[in-house]
Parts: sequence; C-alpha cells; structure tokens
Amino acid sequence: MTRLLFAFLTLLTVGGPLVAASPPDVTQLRAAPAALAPDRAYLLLRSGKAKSGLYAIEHVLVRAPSAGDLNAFRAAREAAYRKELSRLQKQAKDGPVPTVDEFVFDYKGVANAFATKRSDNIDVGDLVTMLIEVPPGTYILYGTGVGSRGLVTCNCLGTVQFEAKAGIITDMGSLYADKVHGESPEPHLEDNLGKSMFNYGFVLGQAVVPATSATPVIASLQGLPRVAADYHAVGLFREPGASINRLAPVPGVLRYDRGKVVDDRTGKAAK
Amino acid sequence: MTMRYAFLLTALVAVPGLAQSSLAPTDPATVQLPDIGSTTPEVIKEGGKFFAFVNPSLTYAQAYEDISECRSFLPTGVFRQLPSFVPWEEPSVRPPIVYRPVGLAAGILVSIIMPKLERGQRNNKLRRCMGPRGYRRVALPEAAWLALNEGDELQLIAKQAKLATMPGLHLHEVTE
Repeated sequence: MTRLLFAFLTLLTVGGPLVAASPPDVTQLRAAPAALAPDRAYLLLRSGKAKSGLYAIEHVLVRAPSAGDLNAFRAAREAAYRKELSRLQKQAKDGPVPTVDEFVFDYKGVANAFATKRSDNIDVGDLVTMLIEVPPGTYILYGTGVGSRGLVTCNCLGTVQFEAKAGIITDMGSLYADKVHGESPEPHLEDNLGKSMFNYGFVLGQAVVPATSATPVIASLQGLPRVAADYHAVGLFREPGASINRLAPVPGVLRYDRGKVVDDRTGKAAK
Repeated sequence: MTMRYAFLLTALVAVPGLAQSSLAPTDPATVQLPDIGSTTPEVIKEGGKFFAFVNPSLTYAQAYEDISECRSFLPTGVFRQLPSFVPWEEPSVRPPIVYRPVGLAAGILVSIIMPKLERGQRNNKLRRCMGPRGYRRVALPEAAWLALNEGDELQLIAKQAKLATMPGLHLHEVTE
C-alpha cells in the first residue's frame, strides 16, 4: 500500500522533470575500455540486486564540490539573490529578510550527484558489476534510491568518503542496499529496524564491503591500473527531503558509539 | 472541471557538518510537562503513531543534546528527486517539492495521505536517530503527544528531555 502511495505522489510531483538527469560528465560504461583516459577517474563497484517493486534499489554518490564548483554556485546564487532582493523585502514587510544562505535557490550549474544504474553494467553474476567514468575527486556514499533518479534515504547519520584519482580505476568493493524495516536477504545491512517503519514511511539501508586483494575482478579489467578505495568516515550531515539512515559499520573505517560517528582508524569523532 | 491543489513541503535545507545547538538546555526545574494521562487500550493501539523516547539512565543534558540533534533532521519532504548539485560544505536551501494532484478525487486523496506520510517520515527519522542512542519508545495519548510535539521548538526539546529521563515512569513500551 505504501509503495502505491509513493508511486502516486511521484506521478504528482511537478516543478521540474519527474526525474533529474545524471551529470553529463558521469558515464556508466557497458564494456571494459581498452585504455583509461588520463584525465578521468573510474569507479568500479559490485552491487547487490535488491529491488522495490519493479525498480532496482540504487546507490547515490556525491562528488565533493571543488573550490571552483562552489565559487560558481555562490556567484550564481548571489546574482539570483540580488535580482530577487526587492521582492523578498516587500514579501517580508516588517519581518526579517532571508539572507543569501536562506534564499531558496535552484542551481542549474555543474551537477555533482548521481545514482548508479544497474541496467548499465559490465557483468552480472551473483552481484552486478558496474564501471563508472567520473571526474576525479572525493566521493561520498550519500544514500540510496529506488530507480536511478531519486533519493529515498540519505546516509545522514554516518557514511564514508574516498578519493578517486585520474587515470586509474578505484575499486569501491561490494555495495548492498535494500529496504530495512524487516529482515533483508542482502548481507551486511543493519536491518529489522521495525516493521511499522514501512507504514507511511520508507527506509533503505546501505552497506559496503571494501575491496581487498582477494576481491574478484572480471578478466576484462585485470590489465587496467586499479587501486582499492581508501574509505574514511564522515560525520552527520543534513538532507531533509530524504528519510535518514546510516551506512552499516565498516570494520577499521567506520563505527558508531551511541549514535556518534567514530573514525575507526583513529578512535576519534568523525567530521 | 479540473481543480488543482498545490501542497508545498518545507523548503529543503542541505547542511553538512551538522551544527550543534549552542543554546544551553533550559533548567529542567522550570519545565512543565503536560498531563501524560493513563495507558488505555486505545493509547497502546495507537502507540506506533504517538510515542515518546525514554532512557532514564541518561542525564537531562544528554537527552537534551540527543533530542536537539535528532529533531534537527525533521524539516521534511516526503519524496525526493535526486538533487543535481549538493554544495556539501555550504549551507543552501533548495526549492520545496510541490505536489499538484489533478482532479477533485486526487486532491482529496492527497489531502488524506499527506499528513500520514509526513508523520510516518517524521517518526521514522526520529526512531532511526534516537534508537541507536539507547532510547525506548513508550505510548502516549494523542493529546500528550501533541503537547510534546507542537509549539516552540526549544520548549519542546526541554519537555521531551525531561520526560525521557524521568525515573519511575510506567508507560507501555512500543516495540513494533
């Protein structure tokens, strides 16, 4: 029933395309490349196959914006704010006028968030292997979605990030995601959170098993330069539109102490 | 005839590196709790909707911090498109999601389900945030729940923290 209600609301959503487009500089490859571009990074991951109804449950990643990205964002927002300021002042009457940080702004510039698309893969076995060509940078395991264009649950209560360098494949290991109100057949998840969490709500969970030297790599990628993702814990962040959860603990990288995110490398609170 | 109903959800604020409230907790001695009433079969039945978090092993200050932090996730939307740009280090406010059902029947349906979806989302957020911090849920009458969840935010946090850490409360635990 809840699924039907969500589908209904999805159909009603307007004010932009029903689904947001992936960034143009993110390409999910459907075959192993003969060689890697020296100025591009490549993310290799194996994903579980959980679905919600007809739709694959996908992994959402965000590239931490560069200084240039942020400057462009701030400049565009500042310009839009100045253009709207007299209207905002009239609207506020004698009340406080929103600051530029409080200004509601729909940025149309560079995109840095995307979801995986399991149908675009380079191999399907027990897990689905995906290779994604992306700009180099620091990537955050931001959350999970149903289908490749939405965000259902953020890892706002704790997650990990890693650096993807140019000219090399960064092996993210194996990722799992599923609905977690009940018991999930997907391994490594924090599940069984309470069946009533599926009554007019929807919570997905995510887990990552980092790559090691024993992690199988398909033959067509074995000749290409590759490094295991070096994960680091990330503390709480806010993404109010989504339901909230945390990435399952990653031994040696990420753990929790009474809800506080702990960097398991140092034993200190994660930032 | 086509009727259009627009449901605006709260504008979406994305802020990484969650800031803690810098305000000192209200003195618990000055905090007035609402009448918690009695645990009737109806209260137990509705406990999945109307509940409070309790953990009497914690101090009022600890509970105040936990509740404050977890409630900071509440500004809500029900269903999200994937944002194209996340500023990450930068506070920002994205436009609200707008639901525009077309037709009277769809409008009525949305007006019925939206409050349920929003309450479900809100309860899920609090449960996921408070549960790992060692809190149990206890059923409350709807009137007491409203008194603890509507009004001035700092007062609500103070009331909930005081209730959460009160010793000797005998309320029905919600486990589902």
